Amino acid sequence: MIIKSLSIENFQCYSGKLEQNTFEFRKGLNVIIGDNGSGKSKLYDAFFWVLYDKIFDSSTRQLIHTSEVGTGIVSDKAKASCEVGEKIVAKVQLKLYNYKRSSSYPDEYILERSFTIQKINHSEDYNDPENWKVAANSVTSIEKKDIINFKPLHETDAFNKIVEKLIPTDMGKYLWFQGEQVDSLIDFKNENSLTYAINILSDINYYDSMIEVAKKVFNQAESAYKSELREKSKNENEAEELSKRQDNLEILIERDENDLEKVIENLEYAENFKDELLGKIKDAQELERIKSGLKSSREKINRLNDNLETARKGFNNNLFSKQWILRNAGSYFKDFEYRLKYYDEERENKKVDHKIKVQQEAAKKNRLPENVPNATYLQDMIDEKVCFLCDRKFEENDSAHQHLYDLLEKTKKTRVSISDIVNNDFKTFFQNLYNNGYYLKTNVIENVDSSIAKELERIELLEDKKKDAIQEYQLLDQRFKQLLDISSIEEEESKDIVRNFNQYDKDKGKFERLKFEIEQRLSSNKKELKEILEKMKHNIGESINQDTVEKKEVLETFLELAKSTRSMVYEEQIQRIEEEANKHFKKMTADNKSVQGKIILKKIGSNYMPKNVDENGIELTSINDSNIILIKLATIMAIVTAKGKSDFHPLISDAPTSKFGDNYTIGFCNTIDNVFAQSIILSYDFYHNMALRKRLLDEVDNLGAVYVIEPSIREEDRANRKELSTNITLLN
Amino acid sequence: MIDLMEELGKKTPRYSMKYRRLIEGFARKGAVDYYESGEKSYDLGKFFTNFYEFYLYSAFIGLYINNPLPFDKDEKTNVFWVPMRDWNSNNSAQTVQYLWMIMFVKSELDFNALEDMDQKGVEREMLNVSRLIEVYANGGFDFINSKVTENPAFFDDDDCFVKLLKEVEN
Repeated sequence: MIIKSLSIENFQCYSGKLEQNTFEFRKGLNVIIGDNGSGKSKLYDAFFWVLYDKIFDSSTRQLIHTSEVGTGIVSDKAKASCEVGEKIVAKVQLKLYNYKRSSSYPDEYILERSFTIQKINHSEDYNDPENWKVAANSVTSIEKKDIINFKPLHETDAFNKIVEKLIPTDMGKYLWFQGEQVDSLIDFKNENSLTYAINILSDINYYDSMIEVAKKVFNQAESAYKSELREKSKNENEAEELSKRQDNLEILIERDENDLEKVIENLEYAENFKDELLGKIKDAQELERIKSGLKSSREKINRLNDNLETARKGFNNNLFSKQWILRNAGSYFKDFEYRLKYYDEERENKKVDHKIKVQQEAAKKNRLPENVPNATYLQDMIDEKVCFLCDRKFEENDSAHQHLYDLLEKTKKTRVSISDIVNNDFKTFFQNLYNNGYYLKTNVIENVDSSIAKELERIELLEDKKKDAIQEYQLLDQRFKQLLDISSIEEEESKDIVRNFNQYDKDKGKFERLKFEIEQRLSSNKKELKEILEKMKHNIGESINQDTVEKKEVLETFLELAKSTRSMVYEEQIQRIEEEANKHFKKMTADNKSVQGKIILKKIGSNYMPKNVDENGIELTSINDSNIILIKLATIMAIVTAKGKSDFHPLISDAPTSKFGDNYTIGFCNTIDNVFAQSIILSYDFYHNMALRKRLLDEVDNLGAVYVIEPSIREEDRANRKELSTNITLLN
Repeated sequence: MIDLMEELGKKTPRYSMKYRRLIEGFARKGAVDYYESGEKSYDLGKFFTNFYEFYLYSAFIGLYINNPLPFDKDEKTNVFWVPMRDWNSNNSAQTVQYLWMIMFVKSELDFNALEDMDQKGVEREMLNVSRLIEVYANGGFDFINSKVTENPAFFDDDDCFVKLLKEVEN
């Protein structure tokens, strides 16, 4: 089935009658070219609305129903010129051709959806819903051409049946998509998405049902066989026992077989992911090593910077902390030393003078020479109670004893105390000043210049170290950037690669161990089961009905057959898709000289993933965005065409080539026009790029209609939507 | 008994108000803020952690260039609220005592006569020593101020005050 034409009346920016807004389509590739804001999305909406009663809300990125859009469905220009009481009908009409193998003349259908509003208030504000009476729902109609005229089809659901025939629900998202959706249709991160697409678009489900049936009948036959074995046993108790053990073993074996399947699947995943990273791991590890080196190098530079700043800015602080301030003050110490010496001498002189004075006074009293008798003799005389001068003896406390005692006391008083000679004793103060000065003079002042030089040297050394550290950082950074370029690993990716690689490696080991354990257990359980069956056979008294045995055996073979057929068909399907995808991929990339590799559908567990590999089967890791999109588009085309379904369905896509360069765009156009009987694409790419437009018109083999759409008013006046309509020009 | 350390230590020398901006430009007001904020003087673009450090520096500069400059008669002056006994950050206490030592030489005070003086006499002489510090500091400020006016770029370098010290080598 193909779309013959699309006509639009007063729908959004397409104001005016159906005849004014009609796109006639042909077989092959039809292209509608328009600038941003020219009405491409509204055209995409018109397709969608006529079929499904919904339009795309760009602000919420969701499809919304007519009842929610209300008057927004209708052209502003039509609303602005509407009088009170008048009605406006927004309408989209689709003419379809349904080609049949039995006839060269197609069935022709007209599908139409309309939506009516009526103006009820005198008001300039046509956007205010209060001014309009709005129909509760849109209305659909379908007509079929009967030799000459179109006649309505009254059959219930005729409209939906034709829609389903045009775009089957399960295939919808692969036949009708916006460029930005391609990524999610075949999601490289979701292993199921390709499997899901294959299941939907192929008849593999038929084989799955066949296996289910085979399983069911085999289980019945096997069950009948087992009951007969039990019933005909010579020893009922033993048979019962063996039967129980058999049941248990079967449960265990089934569980282990399921587990084994999962473990093998997980092992394959781990191996696959590990293999995927194999080409990158060395570089990623090196990148991580450099990253860590860069980090410590950065820290070193920061540390040196801090130290340098502290040293430079704190240089002045040394005036006090290292007492550089005293650098020129050394000579004053000598002056002070001289003054202190003089001071000390003066004090000594004073002391002597005072002493002489005191002694002279004492001598006057004693009439004896100074220090005669001296203090030692006086004490001896007192102790021995005899005068050494006159040899007279005396008693304690008599007048002679008292005289000698007084003499001794006076002698003691002739010792000069500081308080006797000065009012204030500042000796300690001056001595402390001297000690402090002496210390600073000898330990600090004389070394100030070398201390300054040392500090300057330290700063210079820090500067050198910083320079070296910066150089080391730059070298590492250069190596890092080079490696990034060569390896095509993203800067933030390497950490994940290393981590994931290690994890997959660990997982691989874990699943290998598990696999071995389960296989061992399975082997032992199967052996035991076989022995039990043998025992049961030996235990039976009479022979088992041959029919039962044969039935079981035939159905067992049938089950195996169903399984292997399914597997074979699936493999063939995959192979066909792979071949088709490569055919499309090759064609789309024919004009691109860079190496594109080929597509393989790699089995991972029970799923398949499209991969881009080189001639040796090594996965290409540096493919860019447009290549990924191409691989996905090629895979989608291959799935859709694998069974020749594309003969019957058109492909409608908005901006599928937006991420491509010129060659890829033409490659895509040249491929799609051969893959699909009809495709309609809306594109911005050919609007300003006249060379590309010319290539489209000249180089695409199976080209249908090419239209350019443009708003009727200039962009700067676009705010005034009262006059907005869309001009449609056919280019070929 | 008179304690000279205490007599001198309690003095809060004066500075001319005309150098207030100069002092504020090069020195932080006090160490208290430094301890609270954890910032160093040079984080604030200042060369001296305290006003008194700059004062001490100026006194030594005045001394090295031998420029004791008394205040004018009607000079407006101010004092630091920190007495000299508390000028003890960054090893300053030793430096202060060295300055006193020099001032005792410069003042030509008779140490022995000082010991014979009564309380009032000693206090007067210690005030004179303190005044002598002021005139040398004033001479130092005058010199630094002229330098700032003549060659402000000189003070852009982190080591300017060390360089200045070398310039005034006597």
